[in-house]
Amino acid sequence: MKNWYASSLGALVLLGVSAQAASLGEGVACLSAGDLPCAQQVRDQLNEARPASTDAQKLNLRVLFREGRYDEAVEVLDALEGQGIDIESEDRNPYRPTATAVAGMELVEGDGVWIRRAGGLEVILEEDALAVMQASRQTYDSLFGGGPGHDVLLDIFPTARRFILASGLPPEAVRTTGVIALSKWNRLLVSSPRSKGRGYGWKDTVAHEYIHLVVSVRTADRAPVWLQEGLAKHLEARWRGEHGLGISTHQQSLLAKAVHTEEFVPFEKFKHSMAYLDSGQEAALAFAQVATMVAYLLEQAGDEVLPSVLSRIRDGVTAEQAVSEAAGHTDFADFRQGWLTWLGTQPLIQEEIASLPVVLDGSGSEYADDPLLAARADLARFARLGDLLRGAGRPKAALVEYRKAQDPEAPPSPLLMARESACLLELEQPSEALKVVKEGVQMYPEFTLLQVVHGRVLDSLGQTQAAVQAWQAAHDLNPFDPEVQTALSSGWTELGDAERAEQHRRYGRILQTGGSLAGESETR
Amino acid sequence: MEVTPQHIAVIHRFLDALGRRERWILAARSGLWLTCVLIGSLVLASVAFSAGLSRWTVALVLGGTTLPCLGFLLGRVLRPQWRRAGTLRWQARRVEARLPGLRSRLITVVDRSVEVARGQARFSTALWARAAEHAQAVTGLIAPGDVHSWRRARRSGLGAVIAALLAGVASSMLPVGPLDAVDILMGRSAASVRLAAAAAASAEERALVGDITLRYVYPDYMGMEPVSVPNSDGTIHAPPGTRVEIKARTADRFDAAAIQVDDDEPLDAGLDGGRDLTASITVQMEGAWRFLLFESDEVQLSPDYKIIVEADQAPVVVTSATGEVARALDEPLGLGWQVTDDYGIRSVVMEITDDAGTRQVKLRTPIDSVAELSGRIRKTPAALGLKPGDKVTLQIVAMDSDKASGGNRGESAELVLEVLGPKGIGQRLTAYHKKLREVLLVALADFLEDAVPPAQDPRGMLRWARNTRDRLDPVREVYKDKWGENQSTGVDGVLVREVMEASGRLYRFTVVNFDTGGGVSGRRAVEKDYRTFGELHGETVAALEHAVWVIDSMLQQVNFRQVAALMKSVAQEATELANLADDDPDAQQLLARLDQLERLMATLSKSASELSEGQFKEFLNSQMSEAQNQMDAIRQAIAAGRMEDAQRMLEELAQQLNRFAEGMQDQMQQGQQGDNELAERMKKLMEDLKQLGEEQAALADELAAARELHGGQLDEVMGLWSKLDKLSNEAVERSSGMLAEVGTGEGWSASSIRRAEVTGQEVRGTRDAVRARDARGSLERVMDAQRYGAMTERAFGNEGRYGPQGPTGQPEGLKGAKREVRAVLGLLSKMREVLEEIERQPGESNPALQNAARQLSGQQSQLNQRQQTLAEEVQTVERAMPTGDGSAQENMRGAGEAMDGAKGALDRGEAMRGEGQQREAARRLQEVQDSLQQAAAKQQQMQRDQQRMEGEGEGRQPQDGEGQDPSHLEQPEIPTPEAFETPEEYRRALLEGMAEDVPEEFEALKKRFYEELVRQ
Repeated sequence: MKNWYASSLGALVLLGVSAQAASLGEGVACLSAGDLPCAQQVRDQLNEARPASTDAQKLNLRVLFREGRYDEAVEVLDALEGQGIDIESEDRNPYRPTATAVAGMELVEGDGVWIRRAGGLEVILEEDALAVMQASRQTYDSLFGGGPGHDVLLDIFPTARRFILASGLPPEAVRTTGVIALSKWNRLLVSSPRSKGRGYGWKDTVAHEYIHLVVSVRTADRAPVWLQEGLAKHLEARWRGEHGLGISTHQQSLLAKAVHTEEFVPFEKFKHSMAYLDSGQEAALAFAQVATMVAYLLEQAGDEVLPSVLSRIRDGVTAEQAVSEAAGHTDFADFRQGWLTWLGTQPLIQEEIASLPVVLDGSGSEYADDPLLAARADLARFARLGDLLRGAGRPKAALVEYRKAQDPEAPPSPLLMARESACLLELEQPSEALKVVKEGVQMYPEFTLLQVVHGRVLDSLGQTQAAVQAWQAAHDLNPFDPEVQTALSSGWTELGDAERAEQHRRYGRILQTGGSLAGESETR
Repeated sequence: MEVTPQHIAVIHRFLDALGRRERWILAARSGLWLTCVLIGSLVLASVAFSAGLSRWTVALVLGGTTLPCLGFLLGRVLRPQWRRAGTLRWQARRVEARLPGLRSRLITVVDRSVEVARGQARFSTALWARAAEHAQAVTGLIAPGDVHSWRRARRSGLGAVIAALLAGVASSMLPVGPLDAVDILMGRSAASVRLAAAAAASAEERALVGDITLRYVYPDYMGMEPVSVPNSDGTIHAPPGTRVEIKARTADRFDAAAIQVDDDEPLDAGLDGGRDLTASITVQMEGAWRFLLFESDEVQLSPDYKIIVEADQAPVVVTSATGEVARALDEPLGLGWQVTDDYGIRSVVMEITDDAGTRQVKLRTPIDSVAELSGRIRKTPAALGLKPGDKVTLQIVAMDSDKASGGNRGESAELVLEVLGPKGIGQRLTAYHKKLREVLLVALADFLEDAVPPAQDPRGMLRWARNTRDRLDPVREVYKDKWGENQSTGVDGVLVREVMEASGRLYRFTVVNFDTGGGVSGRRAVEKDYRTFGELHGETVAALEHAVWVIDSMLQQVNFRQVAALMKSVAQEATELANLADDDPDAQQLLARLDQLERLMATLSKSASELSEGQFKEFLNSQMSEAQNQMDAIRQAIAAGRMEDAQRMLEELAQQLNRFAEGMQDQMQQGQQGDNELAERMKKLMEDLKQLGEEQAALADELAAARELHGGQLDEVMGLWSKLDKLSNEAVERSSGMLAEVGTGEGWSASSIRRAEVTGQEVRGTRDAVRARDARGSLERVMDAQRYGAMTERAFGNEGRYGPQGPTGQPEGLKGAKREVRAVLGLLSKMREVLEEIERQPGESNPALQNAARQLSGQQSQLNQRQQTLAEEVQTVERAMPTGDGSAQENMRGAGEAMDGAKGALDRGEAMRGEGQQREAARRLQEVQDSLQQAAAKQQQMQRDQQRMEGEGEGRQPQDGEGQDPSHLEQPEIPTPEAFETPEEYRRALLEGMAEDVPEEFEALKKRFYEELVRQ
């Protein structure tokens, strides 16, 4: 999510202010502009000049919070409250909830990045998180012509509850729209893939949030939500070298339908935040709209246009104008028309595909994360019967039930596709199984179970290279599955990559021991 | 000459001597006569004994004939003579008779000598003296032998000699001689006598004896009625002292028979008609008995038959369960028992043994001595005075009627009964449901893996049926293991019944319709049969799916709640631990509490392992894993003396677990909230459906009013349709009755069953056509139904002649089925008449009525739209109910079709058809409501079962109107016959009870009740 910055103009002025002139207001202005180094400088000057003053404490509180030093922030807060100052009514930052939410979490330092994660199983995320952050910094700082002037902290919360606590967002909004990551307070906040049971594309999400941070810094927080989200969505996979539209098959199907019906989500509706759209479906379409607009821009003008577009926005040019002109259009209406025309030429998936429901912290029924079965209790019965039959070692019978659970009139169910493929595999029909699961993966690449089954099927066919890719995709979504780690360990061994094999073997041991074998971490 | 007393004395002496002589002669004659009679009698007796007559018969006959003769001779002949011989006057007369010349002088002297001696003579003494003189002279003239001769005595002697000779002859000729007869009459058996004299046949040649009937007359002390054993093999099983009366029949004729035990003196046996034997022996010890069969001077032995002495054994007591059982406090024991005793049972009790001792509960004290008793104990542990947690030993103990020993005691094997509280009941119920789900699942898998149809030819279909019909046996076994002969009070009973009914229909249809061999049905399987098989197979699968799903849903719910409750406990424990660490950070105590927490978490993990595979389970497992990891870290901190770190981590752990527990509680609350919302939606939907149905009916009434107003001649037609409605309903009822009489089809021919089923379908089709007010279609369906009905009637007529029961046997229910099919045919005939009458009526040509109908089309259209909206809601609500089976949606579709039909008819101005469709729509809407209500009721039952599995609901009395179905009633206790004053009173109560009417749903219960009663 995008952070709202005030104008950075004041901050720029403040950079040259002497220590004698430092004040709380100046510090707050720096923070409002998203300039954490500036605020840190003012804080230090204030502390030096008036160490025990209320203003120094107030600014210190805000800066500590942005630096991710929550316990210290709470100590300052306690001191201020001890003086009868109710700071929490002045700003609504969740100081105490955040301190609670990160209780027991550990900090790990990387090159210009910090990762805070929980202990135990969450240790598994550490290496990947550092890698993503570092790759993101390298990729996006370069792409946008610069990045934040401070180390970036990524807080990975083990549960959605903790994330909600630290985000300050209303729980209902989070559960409705599925927001599980934020870029706010100069930090990145994400929920662990564990919070979604079967995981999610958390690495791209981290990159997505980092893009928000960079864009915010580069535009002095003047970029509107549509452009913020468009850039983040379209470029979120760029850190791993992937170039594409950046939208899911579900979003493609929504967009294709909207192109046909011309029923797009109005820009006004997500002016302030995507989190306040009516439904996940609407949010998905809105993301698809803006992401493809950015894609259209970059196709027309190339990646190198981005720094200048952001600079122009920072300098006061409207985003619509900057983008339109960069893409060679006279105005935004013209740009929009060009985008629509271009969109019509894109090979969007026409098939109706459902969005994956948002299910956090294991809430909801066992099929709550399946778009079809979550909405159709009558079909979920057959799925459950299939599960029971499969558990009883009767895959042939289970297959019958899984096929009964499908509705040709409704969007395909990823869970049923995974189950069907697994049954076919158990019935020693790997080719059929592969056909089914491939289709599933294409439609629902973020549905981890499909990736897992894909890996199993490919393994059974002896296609180790492809299988490792599938297992790796499953790992990227949910590294907490012991089967995935075992398969990757074996796969990499077979492919001759001992280092990666060892890495996944270590993850497997961590999972087996509940994280007690995790390595030492530095605590700040 | 003077007559002196001496003269008189001489005369008297002479006469006395004569008297003595006569008496001697009489005595001799009497002796000889007696000898003759005796010898004659003995000869007769020997003849009789030789002829096989019994001693008593002979004695009776001889006694009856000889004694009167002897009496007559002695009393009426000899005794007067004897007395007479002692008188002087008789002797004087005998002398006078010999010497007529005396002219009564001797008699006169004898008569007057007494008077003379007394000096009272009033006659002439001279004359008297003269007479005396002559009389005295006579004494010298006649010898005594002249007066009383021995000649007659000699004749008697000759008779005696002849008799003796005769006896000698008899003795040499008869098997039993006169002297033997004496022996026999004196007590020796005729058989032994004959045996001694008879020539024995070859020892290997045994006489054929059969048709042996043994009648045991037990000793009085046993108090047992005699027992007859017909067609016995001759072996006697009896306690000592038992008299065994034996009847048998020989293959050949004999003239006498005896019975012999071992080498004892033979005893005479009765022989009637030369072949029918009767004898009796008294059992004393083990050995053998045989008949001795005499024919002339030969004797044949029957085979030896064993005598097995059986002392009165202790009763044998068996029970339906041994080992250990557990019952809820209010759950009937359901313990079946059976006692058998060789000679009679006096009492049966149940002994309950616990630490405090043993007490008895009386079960039976039969009025009459019976050898076998059985029963079932329906008493609950509560009724036996037990309480939850009690563990007692139960034994059924029977005493027999052996008065000699005071009664032998027979004991069943011990049964340890554990009385469960609500928690224990819940655990058991949960385990049972898991087992039931498992076996149902296996059956479901089997059916799902079937090819449908499994074969392309009847033989293959039959083979499938034969090979697969035991698929549901495990389900039956699990169900029976749990409930025994009783019915489950829970939803599982309904589900299992539905599965059994569906599979029963499938197998019945398969066996009946594809058994085309032997020409019994005289038909070939056709495509439709394969289609019907597919439908019935699908119904079976659906029933199994529904059963598995519902049971699984309950188990999942229960499991989730248990996990949530455990999670709450874990969180509380963690909180207490954190508080303890704050208050008093004693390392050992903290470690001990950590162990406690760990054990709780292990229990939680175990419960969680049974959750369905889903993201919640994954999430929970990862949380538990994390918590475990934290606990390890806390231990390490404590061990290293870093108490502050331990305190902090404990605080964090408590917070984490509490947050998770709260999350689970939230989830449960959300589930409850969802249930409440569904209930509200359901309520609203029912109201809407009711309103729609009422408005549809009102519109039909409005149409009827318009018809009455504008189409006078149609009133008659509508009247006819109304009549058809009643007739078709009745026909459907009677055809259902017919099928009910056919029942499971056991004993019926395949053709009868098939035709009956088709007739039922056709009759239901006529009702549908009538409801749609389709005169032509109705007539065609009625004619079809008549044709099949007639075929069915003929097939029923052939039952018993050509059916599987053979030429004489008739399947059960045939009479009733014939009655019902005749009634159906009668109703169809009436329907046909009415339909033909309708066809003769003028059509709906009244423009005013057509116009009126069209005017109502708009209103109908509005109703149709509302129906469509409600159909979606019905779908949503029914899908959300775990017990929904799709019938509400099906009925809603039917209602929609009828309403569309009504709309079309109104548009065309067809008032009659429109009204028919409208009323059909209203009916289907009512059925929608009924279906939903049934699903809701089943859901409530599910929830009750869940509560029981969770250990709730005990001691809770049902509220008015709640759970009042018959299956919820405790099984009635059957009164024993001895509970009544007299057997007559018992029988009367029995008959009165059987005659009482009960509601339909209690019929089965009533039947079972009386079946058990009459078995007592």
